[in-house]
Amino acid sequence: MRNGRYRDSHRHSLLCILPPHMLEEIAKHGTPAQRAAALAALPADEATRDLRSAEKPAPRAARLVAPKPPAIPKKRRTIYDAAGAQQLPGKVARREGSKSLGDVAVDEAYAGLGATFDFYLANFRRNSIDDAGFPLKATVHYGVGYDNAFWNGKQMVFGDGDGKLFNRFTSSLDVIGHELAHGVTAHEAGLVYLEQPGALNESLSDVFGSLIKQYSLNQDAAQADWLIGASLFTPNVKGVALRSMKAPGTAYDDPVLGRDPQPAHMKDFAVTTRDKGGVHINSGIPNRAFHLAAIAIGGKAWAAAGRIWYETLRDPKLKADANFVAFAKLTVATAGRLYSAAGKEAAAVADAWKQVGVL
Amino acid sequence: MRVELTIDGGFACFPGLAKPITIDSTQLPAADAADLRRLCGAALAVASDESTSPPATLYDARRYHLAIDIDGVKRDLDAADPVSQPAVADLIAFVTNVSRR
Repeated sequence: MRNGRYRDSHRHSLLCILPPHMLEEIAKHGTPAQRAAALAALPADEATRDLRSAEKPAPRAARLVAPKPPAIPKKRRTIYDAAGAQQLPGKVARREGSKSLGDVAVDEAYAGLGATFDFYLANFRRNSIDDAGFPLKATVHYGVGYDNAFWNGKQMVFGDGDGKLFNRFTSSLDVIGHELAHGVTAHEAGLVYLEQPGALNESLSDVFGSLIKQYSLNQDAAQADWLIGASLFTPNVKGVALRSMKAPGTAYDDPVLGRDPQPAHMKDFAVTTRDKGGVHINSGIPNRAFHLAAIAIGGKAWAAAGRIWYETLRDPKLKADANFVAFAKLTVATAGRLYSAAGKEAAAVADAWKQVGVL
Repeated sequence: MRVELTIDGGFACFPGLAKPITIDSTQLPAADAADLRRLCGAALAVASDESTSPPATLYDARRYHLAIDIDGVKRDLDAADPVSQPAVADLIAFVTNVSRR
């Protein structure tokens, strides 16, 4: 283990035989499959990160701090019960490794945190939110009839819903994944939560929230529903979900909630002062771009499209105030770097952004 | 007395829920009207102690604006998730629940 990164030295038996300098040469000059295998076998330290980019990126400020003690990836979950109050974190309801005591919301949060952790580790070798074993905490039963969920920088908070319009917010794995993904974004690009960078921040949470659900169901991109919060509405609501990544603007049309305001194309970009400049509204545009790219590439959405989006998030060239165009261009460049500039992945990503009017 | 609650932010942006919620005590049953007056008094008593804007590390949090008119005396109260004062949280929950009956 180096620089706090855990290495699975048995990931690929053949590559484990090869010395690091040889692996580095393969990582630089091999085919996409060879590069991926070599990179997976190399220690995940700063030198390896450089190899993942065609040009050497400047290290992020956060990675210049003193190395943390080595961390072995393992879940460290704690679920709290606010018992209807709005004081955080509440009383401990379940700790890592402990058994269920029968509280459905507690158990859903516990399972959802675990599924999210497992997803990032298995697919991106990421050790929790900060890639250094960040403890995963969630408070459930927050407030009375509280129909919302949020991330406060340290933990997730979930309401039980009002029972009239909304069910409990822990019932949706993509919502749990969405909230944790805000933590990942904060530790990587730190996209400002306002206007276009804020909409990208929101979109990245929807992307990885959806991917975590798809991964748990082992779905291909074509099989996925691409809905966010599909289980949150009660039967009283005329709608299928809070958002649709496949068809923004169609998730609900309800007498009380109104009509889904998300645009699917830049020509309908919402200019508003509400919702931090429409971060939950205009996220529909990059959401749809990801969906289109994933469908065009085919297979499991987390394998290629998800990887491209994840590595773009981690790229130091992605600035905190990035707009849609900057992010889109970087995803195309990332696809070219990870696979091939002339490959189907880069073409699919570029075409997706063109279809939503960003490029 | 009248209370107008405006909620912004949250996990999703619902146009129907973005509209201000207005509660008029003259339109409420007597018991609810009494509760409203009590809750407003308690919330205003701690209003200065309440955080008015979520910090930058908060995502999907809500912001609340209450315009309270008690017998012609108007006061505004702003809060954000997590609402630190129980009295403010109770008032927000009461107004929200009454509006959804």
